[in-house]
Amino acid sequence: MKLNDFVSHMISLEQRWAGFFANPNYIRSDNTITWPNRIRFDVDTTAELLVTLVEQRQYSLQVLEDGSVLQIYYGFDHNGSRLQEASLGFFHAGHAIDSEADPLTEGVLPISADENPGGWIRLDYDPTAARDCLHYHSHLHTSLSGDIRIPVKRVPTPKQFVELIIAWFYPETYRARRLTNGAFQLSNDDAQNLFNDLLSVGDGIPSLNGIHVYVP
Amino acid sequence: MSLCLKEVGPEHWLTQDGHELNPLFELDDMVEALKQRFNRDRRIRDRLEPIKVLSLPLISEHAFRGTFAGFNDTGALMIWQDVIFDAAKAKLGSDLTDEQFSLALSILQTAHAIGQPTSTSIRSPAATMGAAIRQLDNAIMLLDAEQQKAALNIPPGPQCIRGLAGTGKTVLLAMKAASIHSHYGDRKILFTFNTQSLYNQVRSLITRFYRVHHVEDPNWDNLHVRHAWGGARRPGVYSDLCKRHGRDPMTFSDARGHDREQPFRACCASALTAGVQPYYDFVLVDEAQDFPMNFFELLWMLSTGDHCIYFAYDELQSLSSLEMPNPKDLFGRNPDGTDRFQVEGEYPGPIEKVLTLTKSYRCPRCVLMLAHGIGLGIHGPRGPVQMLERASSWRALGYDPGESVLETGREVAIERPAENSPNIISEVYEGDRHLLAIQSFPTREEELQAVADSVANDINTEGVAPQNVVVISLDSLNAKKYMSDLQMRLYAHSIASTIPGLVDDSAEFAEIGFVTLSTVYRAKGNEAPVIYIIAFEGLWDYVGEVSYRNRAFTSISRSKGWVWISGVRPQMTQVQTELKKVVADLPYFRFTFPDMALIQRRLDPSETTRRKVQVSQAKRSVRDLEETDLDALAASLDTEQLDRLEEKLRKVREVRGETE
Repeated sequence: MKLNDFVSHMISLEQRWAGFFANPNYIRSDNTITWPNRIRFDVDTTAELLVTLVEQRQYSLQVLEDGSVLQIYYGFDHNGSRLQEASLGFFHAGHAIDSEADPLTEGVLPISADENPGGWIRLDYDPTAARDCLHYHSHLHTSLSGDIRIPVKRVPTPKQFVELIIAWFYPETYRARRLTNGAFQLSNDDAQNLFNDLLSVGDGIPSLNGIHVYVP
Repeated sequence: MSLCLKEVGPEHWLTQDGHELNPLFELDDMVEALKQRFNRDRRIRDRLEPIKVLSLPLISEHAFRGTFAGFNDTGALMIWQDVIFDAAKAKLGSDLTDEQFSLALSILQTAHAIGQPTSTSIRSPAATMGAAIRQLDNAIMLLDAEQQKAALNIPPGPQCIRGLAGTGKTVLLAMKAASIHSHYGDRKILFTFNTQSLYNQVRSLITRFYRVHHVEDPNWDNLHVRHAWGGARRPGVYSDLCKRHGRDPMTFSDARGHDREQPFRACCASALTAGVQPYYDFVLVDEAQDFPMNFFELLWMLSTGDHCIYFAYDELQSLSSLEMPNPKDLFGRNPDGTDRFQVEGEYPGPIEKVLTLTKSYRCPRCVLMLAHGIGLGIHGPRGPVQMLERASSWRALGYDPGESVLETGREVAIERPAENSPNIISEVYEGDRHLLAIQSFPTREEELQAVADSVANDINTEGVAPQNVVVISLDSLNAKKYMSDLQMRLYAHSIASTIPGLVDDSAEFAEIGFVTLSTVYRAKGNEAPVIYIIAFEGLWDYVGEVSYRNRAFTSISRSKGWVWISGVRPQMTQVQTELKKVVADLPYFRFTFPDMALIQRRLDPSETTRRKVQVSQAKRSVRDLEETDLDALAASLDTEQLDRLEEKLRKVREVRGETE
């Protein structure tokens, strides 16, 4: 797949997941898909990280429901035909109580013992930084620890990445929009586009997690 | 303040209790700083020369010079007990223009720190909305006499500042906080409020005022800007207090378990029971109308010495009660039964204990009056939901009830004089866009598309900057859905928009280059020249009427200029009738004065519950009726009952706006 295909993917995301995303901020700049003034953030996370990213508009898209952010970056070669690097991040807002959902609490910020601080994952593809089996060229980071790099066999397209994020972090939404009785509702063309670009699925029952993440 | 001087030398003056000071050095610093402030604006650069005046009014010149022979006034003009300096020495070479005078005054008041008076402030006709907004933005910021008192006085005890939306309460309190911090840098100051979106705004305002006199930022360790409650991400008055006392703060669920109606009241109650140690020397409270009473008692306990608590409120911005409780009742009583806050009289100075700001600068008069007319519900379907009972209350808020008798059933006419709403937009704008646009649409899709088209026209044809437009949904529950849809429609017009506050309530509004799409709650405390309010048909909601009117008031009163109100038919047709009725009488409110006892009942929280029960009962009854055999109905209903039912159904259609 080429840069132009990835750009089309990005544009189609809002239609594909209508009402799920907000504040689109992605841009195409030369041979990259990125967002304005992209800053590579430090993997050490703090409770304020998500707020900071939002304040500085460091994201490609936000999730409407909770403000979680997606950072989608792909760098192609000068022809726009070969992927050279990628960084696909998702910062989850957790499950803070929405004061607005209940008019009785309007105007107060509740202190909640069970307030979920959220977390993040980021899939990096950077062959130039690869060193050894602990630092594979394509790996998945999580907010558990900056040193954890789960090797990943393939880099997902924008559509695939978003599909994974919604399946993992918003399973109810995913079920409601994608599945009927546990099976995919997608038309054959959609399924073809979504799952077969990078890896064909042999048994006809695509397993989202199995497609992109390969643990050796 | 009087000081006993022991020694007056060229370098320092020594008081009897060992303090060193030199007022002449301080004067030098002040004059130099003022000169720099004047010279920063080219319109008065080199026009004004600050002079040094030292006042020692309790002693004669002869006596002072006789005691301190070494005294050298270093060129300062002196005021003695027996001599006042020669004013002729301070005369200007030539007169200032009106604009230069206003500007100089604004700089002296430090009010210029909130405006950007960089271009001409002379009013001229504006053909586009954008040009009119630029004039509004460039107007020289000046404080009126009431505002000056509110901003600059530091009374030795509680002070109450009453003012409507747009009277500048937040700005004045921020000025006051900066001024106190300037004078008493080592004292502990608290600035608290209810709406989280105020957090950044208040910090930024205080910083701007503080930096007029200082090169560094305020010391936030001594000047605490705090939301009342606090949370995991940000400290608040209550969470700080618990931390200082080594207690765990109540969780939200705990608090709600104790007090479902106002969970924060439960937090305050628990803190008061456990004991509160004094901590702050000065406390400033914005949006006081939004707090439970016992929060003020808590602030009383938290404050040291004279209890310097300065609180600003807008009694028409909270529909949860009829009128704000009398200020004297807010802080409770002393053990001997006397009020803690004695409202009568004045502080030495004299400084007033209760200040009233009657002029509302933000909204044009028609906008503010529409906001109030709708908020009060003067032409609402079931009559007003809130009312000011006393003529003095109306006057305090800048209205004139004239000869009207405010008694149940009497027709009243209450005017808002133009001078109390000095917004210039309607004077300067000569284009076609009406300040108030009220629309109804057959479907939500059509409404959202019309809003997107109109916003595009404002930006592309009327020259409005995107950050000057805010779209608010009156329906909180569906707001995100509508905003996401609208965002796509604006995108199709190549207009960037942002939905702030998805993760953080303090998120800033008016991001350069973006139209803001907001819920009412997040819009609170913000303002914009162009406000769109969608899903307005909810105003006639039966169960949530008071809450909807509260939100409608807050939304409309965000506007410094234009307001677009729209909703979906058939309900919006009814709402439109109400809005037009209010607008037709402006600048008067003409209505039948309601029964205050009835209003009190409607405002009672149990009324919402009663209405919910009524709705469930109506659903059940209709279902039962539908499921009943026709023959059974025919056998049990007589003609009169059938007539009454038919009449009731006809009225239901009328209320729903389904009849002509």
